[in-house]
Amino acid sequence: MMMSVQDQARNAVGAGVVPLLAVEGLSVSFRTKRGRVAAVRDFDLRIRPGEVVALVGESGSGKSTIGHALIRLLRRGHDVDIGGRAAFQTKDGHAVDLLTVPERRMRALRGNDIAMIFQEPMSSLNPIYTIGSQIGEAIRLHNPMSRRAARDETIALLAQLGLPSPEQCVDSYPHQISGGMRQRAMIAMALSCRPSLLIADEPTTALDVTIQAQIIALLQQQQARTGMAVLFITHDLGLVAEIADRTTVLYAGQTVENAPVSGIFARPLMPYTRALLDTIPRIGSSAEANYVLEPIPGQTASPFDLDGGCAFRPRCRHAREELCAQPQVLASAAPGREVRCCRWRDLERAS
Amino acid sequence: MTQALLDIRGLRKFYPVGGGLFRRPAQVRAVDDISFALQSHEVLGLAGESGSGKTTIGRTILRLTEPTSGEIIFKGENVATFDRRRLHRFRRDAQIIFQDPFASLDPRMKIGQIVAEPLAVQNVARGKKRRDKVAEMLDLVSLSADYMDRMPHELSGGQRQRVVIARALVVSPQFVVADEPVSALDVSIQAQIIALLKSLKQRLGLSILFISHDLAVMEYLSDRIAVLYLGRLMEIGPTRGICGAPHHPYTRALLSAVPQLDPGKRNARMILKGDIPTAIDPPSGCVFRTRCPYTIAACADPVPMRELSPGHWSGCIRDDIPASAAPAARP
Repeated sequence: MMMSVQDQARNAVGAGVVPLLAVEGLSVSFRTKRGRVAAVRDFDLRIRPGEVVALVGESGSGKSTIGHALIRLLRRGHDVDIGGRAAFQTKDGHAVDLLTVPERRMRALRGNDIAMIFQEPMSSLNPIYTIGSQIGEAIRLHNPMSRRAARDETIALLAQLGLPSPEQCVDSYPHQISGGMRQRAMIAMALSCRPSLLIADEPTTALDVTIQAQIIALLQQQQARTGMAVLFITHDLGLVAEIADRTTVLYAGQTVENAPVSGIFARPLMPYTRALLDTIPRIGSSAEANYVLEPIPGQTASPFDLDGGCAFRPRCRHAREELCAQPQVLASAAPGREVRCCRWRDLERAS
Repeated sequence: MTQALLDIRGLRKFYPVGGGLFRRPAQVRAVDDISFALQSHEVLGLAGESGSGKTTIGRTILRLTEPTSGEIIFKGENVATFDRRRLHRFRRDAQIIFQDPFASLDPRMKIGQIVAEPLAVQNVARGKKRRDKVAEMLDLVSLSADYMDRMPHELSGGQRQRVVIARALVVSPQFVVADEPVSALDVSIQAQIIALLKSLKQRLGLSILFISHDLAVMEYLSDRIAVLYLGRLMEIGPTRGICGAPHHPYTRALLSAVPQLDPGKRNARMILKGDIPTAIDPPSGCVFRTRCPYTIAACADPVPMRELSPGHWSGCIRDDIPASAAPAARP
């Protein structure tokens, strides 16, 4: 990308464009009966305007905690400690720290600048209001207008999201429409105020595969149309390949690999990412004579058992205790690529 | 051909819905005229989305749900006509592995008791022999004998699913229904359980009816695959045929919907329009025709299954759909 000197000077980060969101050193820990447990540790993330970044991890990796902390559904309290910064560029040109901005201001940002969609659309829609009144409420909250106008806008939005007979849907209650339609309605609500960042937390996990394909195509199409950035939280590497520009792989609350999406599938560097890719059955496997799944032994790390060394090493077949018991740093491996493994260079040479 | 271990003929399960004092209830045709056979030592995958009837078929075969009509011939006998005593004995031959290992284990029982329970119910192997059998089963699923005295809440999801499998296999059944056995598990744990099921099939010569919505898992584990939609059979055949050269447009759509681990193959999907229709009033003829991109007028007439190649049957009347529409298996 061509850039003037002034642009670069203005841009303290130097990563091309001023990031829409720059998370630095985010840590989230919960106080429990068994003591303090670190769910997210020293997490960094940068999202440029219009970029689709995937956060991938298994349960307990901290991926949803990050999403919740960024939109402040999770906030500091007597049992939650949150550290770090999350600088966000608002639509009106200000920079705010999402972790500390006053609640009043945060409320103005939610929906308008940052929207979120969740896994289970039934539990995130209110069962006693119609689809239209819920979407209309979101629109009117940020853009004062008459109910009538909000209703028309809602219908237009639902039509745009491919809901059949939007005039009927607008007056339906959530239980009267199917799961796929509910997720479309959720997306309509999220997009209603044209946010610059959409946090999508496993938005298709509860849906059937053919409906999932519809929703992913819809998200891609809406992303391209509006140019919003998306933080796509998922456990499914297949969806990452489908939708993301870049991806961050999480394990036990830490980033273990950062890469452009083409790189992570062609040349995964972290042994965990490699192992994860080998553990997923692929369509077409029956045509390959010697196709064998390689399960990862053991269980996902418990946040109570972390000792400061590499959290994946008990399950890693490349682990060397003398090296891997040390704290691991997230090292730069190539432009745009980072990996948290002291052995990645050796393994790369060996393969 | 030798006699099949299990032969399902014209299986139907209808559920009444609605209705009242003077109004006849409508019927949900959850399973409508399904026929297939399962050979010994074979894994047959039942693929389908929610509402396809795959779970109902599995439960009906074991008589956990009563069939509305049809025959379930197991080793020459019709399970549908079994009385209580015969059914009790049948459960030594046929067991089930459930989806959610958190819901299917009694939280107040020790693992040892859980795995021993089918032995107690069937009144086989007592005392030390029973304990040995339980230890043997735990060993089979790669859990040490120490687990016998633990409680379910102490175990992870993958370990619980191993316990569920040990419990199903402790009475040495020949036939097991595995209903979405890996769907509730994390990706890295899924493969462990898939590999375990595969090795158990080989070591014990099990016949498995493997129910799943995940075609990639199914392709890896199954010898044959049956594709269901709205309670009807769409296509059935050898795994390589179904996944490599799918005939029915629904099978193609289902395969195409599975996200590939390759960013280069984006947007190469066949995306179906609309939602699965209700099984109360399914479309006439081919039930898939309302969402099918290749539907023609003749699809509204009855569509009998046709054998395309040995053992590969399809319910689609068209042979002129270009293969390029199929995301065929790539080597």
